[in-house]
Amino acid sequence: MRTAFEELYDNYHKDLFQFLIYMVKDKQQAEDLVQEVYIKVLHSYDTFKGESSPKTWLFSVARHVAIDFFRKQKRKRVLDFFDWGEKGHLISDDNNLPEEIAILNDEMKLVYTCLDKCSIDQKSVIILRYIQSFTIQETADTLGFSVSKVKTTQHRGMKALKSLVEDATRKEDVGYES
Amino acid sequence: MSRKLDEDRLKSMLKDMPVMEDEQDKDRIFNQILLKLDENNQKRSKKRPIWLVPSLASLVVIFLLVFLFQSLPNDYMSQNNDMLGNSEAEYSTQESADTGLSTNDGDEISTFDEAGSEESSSEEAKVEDNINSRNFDRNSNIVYDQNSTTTVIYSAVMDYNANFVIPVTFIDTSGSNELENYYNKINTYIDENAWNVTQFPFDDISFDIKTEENLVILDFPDNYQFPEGSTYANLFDKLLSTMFAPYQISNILLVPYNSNDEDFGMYGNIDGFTVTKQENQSYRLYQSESEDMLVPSMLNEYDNVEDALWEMKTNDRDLNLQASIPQNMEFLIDRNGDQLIFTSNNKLEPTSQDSINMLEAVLVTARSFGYSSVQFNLPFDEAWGYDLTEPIPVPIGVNPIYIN
Repeated sequence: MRTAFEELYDNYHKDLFQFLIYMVKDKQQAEDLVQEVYIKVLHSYDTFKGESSPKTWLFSVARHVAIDFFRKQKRKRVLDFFDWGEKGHLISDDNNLPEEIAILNDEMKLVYTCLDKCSIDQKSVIILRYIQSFTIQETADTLGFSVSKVKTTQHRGMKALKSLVEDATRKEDVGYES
Repeated sequence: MSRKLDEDRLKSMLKDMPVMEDEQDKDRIFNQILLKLDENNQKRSKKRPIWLVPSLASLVVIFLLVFLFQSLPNDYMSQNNDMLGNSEAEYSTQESADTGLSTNDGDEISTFDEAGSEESSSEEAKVEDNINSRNFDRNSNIVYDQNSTTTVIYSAVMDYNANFVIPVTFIDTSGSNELENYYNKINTYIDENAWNVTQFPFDDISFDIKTEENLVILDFPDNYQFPEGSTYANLFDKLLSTMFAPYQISNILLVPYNSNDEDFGMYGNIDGFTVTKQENQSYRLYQSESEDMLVPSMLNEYDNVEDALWEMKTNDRDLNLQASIPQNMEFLIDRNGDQLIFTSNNKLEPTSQDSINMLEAVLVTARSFGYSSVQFNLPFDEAWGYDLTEPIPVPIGVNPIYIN
C-alpha cells in the first residue's frame, strides 16, 4: 500500500490538493478530503484495471468526494438554518480567505469568491482548465464528460463567472459611492 | 475597478491564481490514512455483533416457515419448491431488455425468485395469483423476460404526494388479453393505500394502442375534467412516457380534447405528446408501508453511470427516498462493451435485503444507460441465488405486481 500511495502522491498530490482546495475553499477541509480520496483509491487499488489513467481515476474520485462534501454541507446548512443569520458574515469575511488569496488584488479575490457561485460542474471545469491547465480531453476524462460537454460547460461557466464578477464589482462601486 | 471584464483577462486572472500547497508532510498523510483505514475496520468489526439479533430472528422465522410449509397442501408446496429451486437457471437464458410488445409473443415473465420451469402452467399461475405469491416476490423488485405465455403491462403511478413517477410492471400469467384491455382498467390493479401511492385518474379515459404506428390514442370523455393542480399536469406526460416507451411508442394523441375549447390543464389546448424515453437515470427506493419500490430519478440528468450510481448512495427524506447503495460502500466502475463491471471490496451480508436492493438497483440503472449486463465483483460469489461469478443480464421491468 505504501508503494501505491507514494506513486500517487509523488505524481499527483500537488495537483490533487490544488483541485480540492479550489473546490472547497478551505485548507483544513481540503486536507481532510485529500486523505479521503487516498483512502478510497487505495481501498480499491487492487481492482483498478488501468483502463483510465491513474490521474483521471484519482481526480474522478476527488470530484465525487468534493460533491459528497457539498451535499453534507448543504444538509448541515439546512439543519443550521437558524444559525445562518448570525454566522453568515463569516462566509464572506476576508479573514476566511487562504493566505495566498488574501494578498491578491481585489479583482482577483472577487474572481476567487465568485467561482463558488458557479455550478459544481462549471467550477470543476474552470478549475481544471484554467487554474490547473488541463487539456479539454483530460478535463473530459476526469469529469466523465464528453468533449463537447466540457466545451459547453466551460463556455457557460466563464460567462457566468464574468457576469458574477461584474455584478460584484458594480455593487462594490455603489457601496463606495454611497 | 472597471465594470466590464474581458474574457481573456478573466482567463489570465484564473491562470494567475496562486498555487496553494498542502502543508502536511507525506509521511503524516500516509499515517493518517492508515489510522483512518484502521478505524474503519474497527468500526466494521464492532458492528458485527449487531447482526446476531437479525440472524437469530431469521432462524426463528425459518423454523416458523418450515412449520407452516409442512402444514400446507402437498401440491402447493411442490410448486413453490419449483419456484425457488430453478432460480439459477433463470438468468442464463435471459434476453435483452428491449422486448417491444409482448402481449402475444408468448414471453414468460418472472421475478427473480420465480421459476422458469417447463411445468409453469395454469397451476403455477394460480400459485402466483395467490396473495401469498407476493410474499415470495416482495424481496425482488425487478422483472425478467422468458419465453412463455405471460403478459407484461408497463404502467406507472405516483408517490403518495404526487412528487414523482414510480414505474410498475403488472404481470398477467394467464395473459392472452389485448393490451388495451389491461390499460382500459389500469387503475384497478393496484391498491393505492396498501402501496402508499397515488394513481392518475385514468378511469374514464380509453386507450387505443396502435403499435404498428408507434402511437397511443387517449380518448377522453366529453365532460372530462383534468385534475386541478400543477403536480398532476407536471407528471402526466412522464407517466405516459413511462407506460408506453417500453413498447416503442413514440407519440400520444389526446382526443377529442384538441377539438374542444377546454384547456388541458396547464398544457392548454394541445393535441398530444411525444413520448420521451427515460434514460440515464439512477434508481433509489421509495418506502411504502409494506414494500420498497425502485424509483428512477426524475430527470435524465446523469452524464455517466458513475454519477448515477454515486447518487444512489444518498437518501432524500423529504421525498421518502432511500439510498439503494449502502452509504459507506466504495466501488469502482469499469466497462467491457455493453457490460458494466461493478467492483467493491465492501463487506456485505449476501442474503440481506440491502444487498439484494443494491444489486437490483445497479442492474436497472445499468439498463437505463444502455448496458445489457452487469458483472459484479464482490467479496462473495452468490447473493440470494444471484450467481455473481457470471454477468447478470439487466431486467426488463421494475416493481412487479401480479394481477388476475
